[in-house]
Amino acid sequence: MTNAGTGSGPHPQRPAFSRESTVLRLPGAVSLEDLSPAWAWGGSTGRGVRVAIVDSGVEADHPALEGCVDRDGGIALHVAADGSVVREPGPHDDVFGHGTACAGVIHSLAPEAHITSVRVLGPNLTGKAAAFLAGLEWAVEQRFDVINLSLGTSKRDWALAFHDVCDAGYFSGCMIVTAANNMFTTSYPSLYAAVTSVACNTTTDPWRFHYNPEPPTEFLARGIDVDLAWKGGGRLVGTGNSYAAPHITGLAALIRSKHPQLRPFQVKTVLWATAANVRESPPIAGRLSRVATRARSTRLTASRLSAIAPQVSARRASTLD
Amino acid sequence: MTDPGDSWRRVDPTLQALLAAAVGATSATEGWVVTEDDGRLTVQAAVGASSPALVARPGVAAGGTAGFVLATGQPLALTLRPDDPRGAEGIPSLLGLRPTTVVAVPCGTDDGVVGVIELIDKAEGAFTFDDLELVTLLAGVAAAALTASGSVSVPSPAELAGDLERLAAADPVHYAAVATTVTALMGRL
Repeated sequence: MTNAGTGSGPHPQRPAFSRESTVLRLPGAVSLEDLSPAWAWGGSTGRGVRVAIVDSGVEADHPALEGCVDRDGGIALHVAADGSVVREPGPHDDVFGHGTACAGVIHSLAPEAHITSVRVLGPNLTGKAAAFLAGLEWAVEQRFDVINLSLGTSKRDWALAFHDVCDAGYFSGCMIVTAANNMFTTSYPSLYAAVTSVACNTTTDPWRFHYNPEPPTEFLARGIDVDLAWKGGGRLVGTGNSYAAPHITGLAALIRSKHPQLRPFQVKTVLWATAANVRESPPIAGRLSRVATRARSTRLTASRLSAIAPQVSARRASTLD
Repeated sequence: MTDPGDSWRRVDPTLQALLAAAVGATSATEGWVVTEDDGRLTVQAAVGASSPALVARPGVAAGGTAGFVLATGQPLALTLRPDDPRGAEGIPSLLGLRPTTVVAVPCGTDDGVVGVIELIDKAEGAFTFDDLELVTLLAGVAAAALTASGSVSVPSPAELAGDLERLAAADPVHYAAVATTVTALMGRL
């Protein structure tokens, strides 16, 4: 039974839908037309934001990372011979170089964000969905502001477990950014609404990204011929959605640093509003405005925007630069 | 040394044809289809001057680009400096090769990644995103071929039960009852 219309205040036992709208009144809100890159991340360095990288480990002393890695705060997980997941908190290295590459991209965009490594691959690159899930679960429990997942699993048996963890992260305020698969192959958890799924575009500008109107891949960012930090203190050039995701992770870190009150869905909306193809779309009648008809215009604009925006799939991302 | 002729006879012709298409279309110099069994990489098909002998050779410890892609399901294209020793890790180590360009994509099914197509040393320049997508397309067919040919080992009931137990530990609400039932049934077998 709800208390709608009674005028009483919030009650911790009652679900949110039972509260009056007066109780949920906001002290202030940003209208969509205010969402520019300058507002979203202008002047932000990522200070105060904690980013977890669930991957092959991160080489903490790599010169490109300039000491941004919380070496002691990380954790390494692997599946033991008896099938149990072994958790080893503390410093560890990168067993391949991929996690270091992601860290380098994030650090280049959000230099003051603190990066923590969650290694889910064993010493011989052995990887199990159980370790991957446990690593993601740990990162959610630790309430990292942004979690970068440039890997996934195609095992359908594990889909539900990943879904639950991603939802838990979403509701607790963790922004989970995943790399999408290029095509055909299913990859969890990149298919879920609770995460932000990213594929490549063809730009060479790390700040230029696109909104993809054909989900589950929602954004397209730089991922082709990216100069990357890699294991062993060196660098190499890499291509893949793996490197697109950390570009969005870096931007999300900047946004969360400047606007810590934003929830993951709001950060996603800010990313949508600041995407290159949204900002550069031709002006149309009924565009978002401050007038009283804002709600109606928003619906109109959303539908028209969908109609005129390039119908880009992750597979055809190369049409955007 | 294993006779390459013997090796060729053991290769699944569909896999071999798919790999040849991938190598030809991307202008790679060498390529192989790799599966993993018990932490070791095994070459199921190979194309290139020095690669065919790989097919009958014992596997190498999982590692390198193919090992990473097998573990994570994440396709990659990398360009390394000629003096970078990291390119030699994994399958190239069996041939004494030090590739400077690599593309590796997973052969994925609903049950997980069953193999990897790895190509090295594009004739000119680096592997492109188009190469990555093309090989991904072929890898999907290769996954079906690997499964159909029996090149991929089917998990034993005990392995499946173990996986289910891990799921039950991670997500008891959904899996605990199923795991208990399966364990009880296995106890009767």
